[in-house]
Amino acid sequence: MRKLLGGITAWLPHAIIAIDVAVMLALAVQLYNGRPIVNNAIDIWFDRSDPTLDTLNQERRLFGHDTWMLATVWMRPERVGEASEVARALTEALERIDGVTRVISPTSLEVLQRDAQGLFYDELDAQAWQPLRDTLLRHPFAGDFLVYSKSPELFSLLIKEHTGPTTPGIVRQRLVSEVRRVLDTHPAVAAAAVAGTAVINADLNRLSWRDFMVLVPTTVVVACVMLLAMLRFRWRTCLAILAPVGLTTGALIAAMLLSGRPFTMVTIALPGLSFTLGVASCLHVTGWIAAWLREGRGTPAEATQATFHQLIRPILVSQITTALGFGLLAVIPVTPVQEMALFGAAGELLSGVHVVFVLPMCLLWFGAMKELADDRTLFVGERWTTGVLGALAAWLTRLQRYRVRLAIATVAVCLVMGWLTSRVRYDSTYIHMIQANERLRIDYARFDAAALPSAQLSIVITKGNSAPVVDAALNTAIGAASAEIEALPEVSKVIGPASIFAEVAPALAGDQPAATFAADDSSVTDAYIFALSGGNTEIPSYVHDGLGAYRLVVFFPYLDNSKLEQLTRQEIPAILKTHLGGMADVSARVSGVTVLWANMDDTMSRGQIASVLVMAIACFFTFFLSLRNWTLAACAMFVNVVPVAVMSAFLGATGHPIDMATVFIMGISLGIAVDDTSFYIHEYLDRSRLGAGALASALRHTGPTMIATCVVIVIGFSVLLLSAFIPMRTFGGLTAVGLVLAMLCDIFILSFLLLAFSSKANGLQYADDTVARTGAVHAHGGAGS
Amino acid sequence: MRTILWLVPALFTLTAAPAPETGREIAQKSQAAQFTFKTLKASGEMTLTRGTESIGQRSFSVELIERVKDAEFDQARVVINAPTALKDTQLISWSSGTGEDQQWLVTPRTQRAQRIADRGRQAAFVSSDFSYEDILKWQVDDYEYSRVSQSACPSGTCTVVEAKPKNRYSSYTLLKVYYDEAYRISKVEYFGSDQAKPRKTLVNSGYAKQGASWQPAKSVMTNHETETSTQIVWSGYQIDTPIDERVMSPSSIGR
Repeated sequence: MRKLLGGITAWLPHAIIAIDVAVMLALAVQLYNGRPIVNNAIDIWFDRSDPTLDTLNQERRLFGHDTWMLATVWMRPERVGEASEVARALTEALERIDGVTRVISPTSLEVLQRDAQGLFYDELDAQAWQPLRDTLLRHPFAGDFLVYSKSPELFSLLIKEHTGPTTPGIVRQRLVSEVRRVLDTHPAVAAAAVAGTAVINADLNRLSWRDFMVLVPTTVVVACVMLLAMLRFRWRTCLAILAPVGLTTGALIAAMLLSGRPFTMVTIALPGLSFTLGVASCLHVTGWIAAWLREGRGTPAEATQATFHQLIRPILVSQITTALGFGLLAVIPVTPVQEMALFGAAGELLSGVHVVFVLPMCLLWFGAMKELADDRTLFVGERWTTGVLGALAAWLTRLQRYRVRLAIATVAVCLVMGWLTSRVRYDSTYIHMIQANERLRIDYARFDAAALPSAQLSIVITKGNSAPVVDAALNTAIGAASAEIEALPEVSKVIGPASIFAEVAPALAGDQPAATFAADDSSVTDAYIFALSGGNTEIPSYVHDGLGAYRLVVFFPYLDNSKLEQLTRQEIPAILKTHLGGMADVSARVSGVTVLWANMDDTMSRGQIASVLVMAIACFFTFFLSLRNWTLAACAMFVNVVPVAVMSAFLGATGHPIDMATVFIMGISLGIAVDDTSFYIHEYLDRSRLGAGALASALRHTGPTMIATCVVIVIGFSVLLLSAFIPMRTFGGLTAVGLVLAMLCDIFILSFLLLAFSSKANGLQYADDTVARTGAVHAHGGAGS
Repeated sequence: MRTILWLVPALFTLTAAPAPETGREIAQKSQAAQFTFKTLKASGEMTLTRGTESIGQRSFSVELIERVKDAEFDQARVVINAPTALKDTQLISWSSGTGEDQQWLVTPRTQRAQRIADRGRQAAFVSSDFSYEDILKWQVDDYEYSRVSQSACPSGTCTVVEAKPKNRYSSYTLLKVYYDEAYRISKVEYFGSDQAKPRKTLVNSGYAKQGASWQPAKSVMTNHETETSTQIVWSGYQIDTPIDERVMSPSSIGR
């Protein structure tokens, strides 16, 4: 058996390296062929189990895939009179941009008109701004949507384009930048703002790409420099650590991109995370090998097998729990979250394999074993740290006298933290995630300040029966519902069948009273058919060909997700129920990207709670399987849950919401924190033969490594503070804080609990068991202790 | 432009005319060949497409009555048969060499005949890529012609004639009409204000002789601005079968 294991440990590193290199080469070929690297399209963020997604797909099938940008132009005060010429020039210039299908502006809107010959749909005649604006203000579509009664100096344009989730990011970015260029460079325009899904998509992709270009190299450079400094400039050791870490990260990125998963706003952090966590795991093992060599327990060549035999258990515990920390987030059915969860988990397991098998070989190949066995301490400041930790162990031993009082205080603190945690709220409002100085935020601020619409949702109304006649009662109900929704304080404008009917009906009714005309099924049907056949090019966006489906588009200023949820789940459904609820075979459903985005919050909050709870339980059972002691497993779980609880209490106390990026903090922190705990407990139990000196010995031995790994990880996560996304910065900052807390919890609370709850017998039993299975000569103490 | 009605009766000329012909002469020969009948009936299956995605279907029938005298109105009626919601919607078009063209849209349930004013002819007909202007019968005198050159076209090499609309409400500034050797219209490019890039392109294919005239089996209008296209597959051609002239009169509808 030993021979077999020896064989495996000998050839496995080569095989692992060969696979890593092959995967990375395959990626290089794919990248050369133009495979996308970053995709932050909003469409990938939907909760795939959300029924609204079906409604959105139905809406796209019925009314087309065009997406809309809303642009508003503020004229220079002295040139307001030229607004109609400006609108015409901008419309022409915008329609020339690749990807723009149509621009509906005050001068391009086809208005139903009548002359001596008859009716016709056409743009309004070229005329001065004031009469044009007056006419449009009375128009059911344009009034307070393209022109505004309260703001004569501005007008809006509805830009229809057809970028979708499959459109390459660069194409969308070019489209948006062209639109902005056209609007910004007209000399009569004082300011312009553009809103819409494509704009958000384009800017997010641009910012993500910037993040990718900044964060990944910076993390690598910072972690390398920190590593070199922490290891007292042992460059061979550094190279030996960086090789497996680099291979792990490279292979992980390659696997992700090769599987057709470009980086998203969340997974953009994965390379940095993988690199940093890999360095941390390697430091644990390197520290152990250094001690093993200094104690003279074998030759450098034997270190590879010894690492496998003696560290497999703590490494398994730490890597599996960290992988669980990532992996459990896969319960959230949002694609980028699941990608982060699954690839993060896979990365951790991959890292474990590299740490156990490749790192020792690299240390050997790079000639680092000599560096590790020299007289100097392994880490900077280690001598001072071990002194402090020794004193700490003595203080903690004395503190045992107050354990009951401390337990009461702990319970009280836990209750407070629990209450604060219950106040944590979830909010993934997109706009809040982007820095205030970005163009997107500036534009949305302009929309908000002028109380103009910058977001939209849809209401899809379908008729069950296939009779090709518009029911006059349904038409009246749609009109009433549209009016009531438009009267809601959050809503700016509702466009849909009601605006089309309002334009056509008077022209067709002639002398007939409007009420009589609107009450007759045939007249109402013909009104829609006239619009559909007679040249209203907008009608297919609101009335389906078969006259069996209708779409109301609700425009509103950008709302945060809680207000949006109120609008989409309470206010609008209540209105629809009032007007359409009693109609047989008629269904009305709220749809749209913004609605799906708001609904995603709920899913994430549920998934977050579930993942943290399951993670805590999984952490407990992993420790139990490793330690075979309920009390110690509970202690280990407790010290790892405390930092998470502190962070969530902090979020609850400050009112800072959890969003799509910060949702990872708790699960991942818990997973990473387990690393130190696992190594520390196993080291303590290994040394429990030393009796009263066990804690001091274990602390002196693992403490410097815990501090060194903490420093590397914290600085690695701190690089995320450079991100263009606010949630990513919060994620980096809070995770760094959480990991410092976790390290402190290990050193203070876990040490205290180990003294309080681990009996000598337990430790001896563990040590005996370890010795019996691994053939270790003695518990390691030597040089570092 | 003026597509549906003038692409139904296609060219008939048997041999290529000796050069040099003016653009107007080519158009006249094409017209003479196209409308060598008293009446014509045909059916069309229209498919509206964006990219590769079909976004709508229509089926319709066309009836034409051709008058000999220029001053008399040639009459045409397009009746929508599907989708069911649009069934029996009619477009009646009268056109003459005098430029006094008229169009009416007849809604199916109330049988109201709404006249479409000249200014409204740039609008899309039943949400397709064909405008009302495209549907009107081509009248030679409605354009100013110039012959351009020989050029490649879907059916081989064509004579390209430039035609400028005289109608002030036309949404086009220029049409480039590609005639093949038999004076059949192979392709038409429609230009708006930007004469460097066509706004729309019509391609006819699958010509077959119906009676004395060539008729296309398929016509595809592509709108380059909206990146949509409308394909019409023609069938059921009937030449010189009787048509009740009363159905061509808006005044007789619903009265």
